[in-house]
Amino acid sequence: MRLLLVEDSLKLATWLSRALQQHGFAVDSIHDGAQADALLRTEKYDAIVLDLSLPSMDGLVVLQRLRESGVASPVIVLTARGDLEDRVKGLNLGADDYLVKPFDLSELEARLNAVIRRAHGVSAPVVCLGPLQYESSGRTFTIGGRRLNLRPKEHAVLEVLLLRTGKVVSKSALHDRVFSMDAAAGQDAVEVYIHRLRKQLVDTGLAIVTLRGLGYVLEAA
Amino acid sequence: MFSKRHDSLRVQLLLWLLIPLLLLFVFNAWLSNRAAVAVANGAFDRLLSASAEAIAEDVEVQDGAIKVDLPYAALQLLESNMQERIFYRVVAPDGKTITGYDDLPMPTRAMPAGDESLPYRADYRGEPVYLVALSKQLYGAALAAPVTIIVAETGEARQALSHRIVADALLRQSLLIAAAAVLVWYGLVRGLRPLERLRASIAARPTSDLAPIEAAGVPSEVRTLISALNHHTARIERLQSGRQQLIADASHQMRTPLAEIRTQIEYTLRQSDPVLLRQTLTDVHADVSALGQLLSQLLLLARSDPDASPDQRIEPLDLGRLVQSTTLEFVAAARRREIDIAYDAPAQRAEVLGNPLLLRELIGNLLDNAMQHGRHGGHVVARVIADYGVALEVEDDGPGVPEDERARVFERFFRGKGRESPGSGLGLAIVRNIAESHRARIDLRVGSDGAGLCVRVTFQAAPQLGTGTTSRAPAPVASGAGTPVAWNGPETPAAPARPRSP
Repeated sequence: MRLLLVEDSLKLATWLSRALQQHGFAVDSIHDGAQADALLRTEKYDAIVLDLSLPSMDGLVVLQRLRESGVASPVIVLTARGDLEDRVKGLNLGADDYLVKPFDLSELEARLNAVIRRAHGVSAPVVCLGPLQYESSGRTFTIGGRRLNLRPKEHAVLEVLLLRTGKVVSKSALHDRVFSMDAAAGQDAVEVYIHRLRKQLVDTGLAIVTLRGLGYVLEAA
Repeated sequence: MFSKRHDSLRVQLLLWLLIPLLLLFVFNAWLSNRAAVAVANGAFDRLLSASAEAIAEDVEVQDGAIKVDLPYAALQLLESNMQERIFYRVVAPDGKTITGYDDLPMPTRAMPAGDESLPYRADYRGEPVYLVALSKQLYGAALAAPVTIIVAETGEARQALSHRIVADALLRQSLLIAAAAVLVWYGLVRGLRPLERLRASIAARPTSDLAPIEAAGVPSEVRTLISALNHHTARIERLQSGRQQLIADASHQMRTPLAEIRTQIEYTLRQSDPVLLRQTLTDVHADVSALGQLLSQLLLLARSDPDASPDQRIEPLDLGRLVQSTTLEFVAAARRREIDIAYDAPAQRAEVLGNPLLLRELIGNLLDNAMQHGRHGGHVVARVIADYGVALEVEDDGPGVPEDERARVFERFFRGKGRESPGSGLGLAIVRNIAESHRARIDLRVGSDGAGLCVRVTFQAAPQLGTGTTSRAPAPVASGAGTPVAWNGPETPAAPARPRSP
């Protein structure tokens, strides 16, 4: 994965690129807005980490020109400005995510992985959560090596919950993913499948937690 | 320079006075001229009539023929002015000239009845002349019709008179206008002197002096201006002292953790224990993260100050959706603490007018506060209520806040007795600021199960302002002592607050 880091603070850039290289990225580091703009005309990157306050060209301008030239590479904006309005502006100009300095390195890495995955439109071949494994090619769930026997709707529900691990999936989102548009089943039908899945997951160290008013989240104990 | 002079109140007032006066002067000159001409004509026409009558006295009928024995006095009467030339003509009833200039024009109008004279104007020998005609009935003449006596003069004398009258009047008026201008200028200079003194006293102030301006000795019109200025200055002073306090608090709050971090690092650098090094780095990482959090909270606090923030855009928004989406962002953090987080939607759509970014911060800080102070493995509920008004609540089932501390929790950096608080101490101050700028009221009460804390933010009923964005309404004036938040105490019926105990 090629990554362009545009950050004018040399110290931060040095440490960031070290960390990101350790994380497995090939990092090009550049410290100037206009240079970044020129480089982005010729080079292709899988993701761009862009600081907003840059010498010679503002980061928002770099971003705007990048998007105008039709480059769709995901961009994570870094800023020390932290203005609420700034954030909205950045996202409107086509940033994929936004981090205010100071930020957690692990947070940046997680978000980079997320935007790259989203940009490529592929999910990992194997997704794990605790003892639960899902192979997207064979569409099979296993817990501790034991294959789970799920009916199609249960399978669909668990798939959605697993692929969005750590995030809440609302009942209506689940309903839309699991039932086709013309199905007469109401949203309460989702509860039936959640109930059945919970039975399957008893004593596995996994739990589907209901958060009232919000949705469901799949957790490993 | 010129335009600057036009900005002067004095010049403006003077112009307002002088320009109409000059217009009036022109109109008055026209009127005076009319009047003067009438006066001069009247006087000179009477003189002409007298001459005509004198001539008429001497028109007699002798032996059936009309005879005129023109008296020298009559002519002398006419020659009052050297420059003037006078003409006369006596016309017989049959139209023949008896004596005088026989080409002197006759009146075009009919003669008045009786012995009234008739003044008229005509051209004679190429120049305008003033004439008076008089008819006299002669007895004993062959004809019954009267003779006509005409006396004429060129108008130099009467024109001179009328000019003199006009000039006189205009001179007096000019003097009056000049006097008025001088007096008005002087009056304005005197009247505006308090303003000048005021300007000088304000200009002489040091920048830091925000004390009210003394309104004594200034005209009442200016006094309202001064009181408005003082009001404004008082606001600025409040703002400034608030900022200074914030900066003082902030530097204190940041120095202490920085000192801790430095001490920790310096101590570790003197040792050569790799385990300690790792331990210190881990600690310092946590401390620095906390400092970063503190810094962004401080900035948010400063930015959300309802006195200080520039007009925030407000728009109608669905409070339910906003609370739900903000709550979703806190799910991961809540689950790490095994907190059961929930959202209770309102029975109907809850619309408020507000700034979505600031309200998101308000909700986020309430949730953050609930999770920091709530019970590990407990419950946090965000709730939106739309019945008589729109309100949001965030409730935890932690130890709650003792009643005597409730008013103080909104103070920045306030920490309850004997508690090692993990937060920045700014969350609720930010909540108060944002609520205040949205004219919302904050109430604290005990949670619904008799434990924990429930913070309720009640919004004012959204006025019908249309759907467009409007500028922020001014924040309400703080009422009562202490916290500027409308303070209603625990709602009734409420369970008594339980003191926080381990």
